[in-house]
Amino acid sequence: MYGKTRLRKKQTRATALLWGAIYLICLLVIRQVELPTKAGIGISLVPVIFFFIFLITIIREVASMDELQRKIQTEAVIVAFLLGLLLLMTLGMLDQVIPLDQKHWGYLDMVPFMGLFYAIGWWRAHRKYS
Amino acid sequence: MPLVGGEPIVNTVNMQNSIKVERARKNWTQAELAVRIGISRQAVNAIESGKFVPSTLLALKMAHVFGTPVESVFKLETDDWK
Repeated sequence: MYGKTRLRKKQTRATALLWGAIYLICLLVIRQVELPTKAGIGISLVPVIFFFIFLITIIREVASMDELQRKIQTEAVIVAFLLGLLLLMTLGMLDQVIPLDQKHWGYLDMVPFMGLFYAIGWWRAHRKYS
Repeated sequence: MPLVGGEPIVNTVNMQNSIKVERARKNWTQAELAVRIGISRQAVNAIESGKFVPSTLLALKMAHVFGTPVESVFKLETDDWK
């Protein structure tokens, strides 16, 4: 059973890397190439397809995990969600007082932060049960 | 602390276990026990050190591979029965 988890873990890593690469390429294309609006929208939505593949592999991996690994994932996601909420709330409040410059901060800037918050949550939970 | 019928509900439970003793009796490592019950070595270590309380299913599986009743592997401390 645990060998199945390792296989699922590899699949998740592979699809995460694929999604990450596609996301960065699409972002680069949108920012660097002058595209008609329809083509731009199409390219913007390409990472969504790969994200869903990534999502399916994560769900399968979690299903094959033992109960401790699931608890670690749950705690990591709770930390990531709450830190993400805190960041959004703080930026939203600040934006009411000093409107944020869209050149320096946008929706896309939340993506690496959510990844970072998940990593913090996972590290904390992993240490707790090691 | 929440009250039911005037009695406080104890949310934190310290469950004792004799996994280390049972493993030594069988001469198994944590990794060997993990393979036998289909969990990670980290999970065995966390359960054995009392950091993680397993589900009933896992506790029963563990007792089964040791060939002992579940209540001889996992025990509640006296205060936790209140």
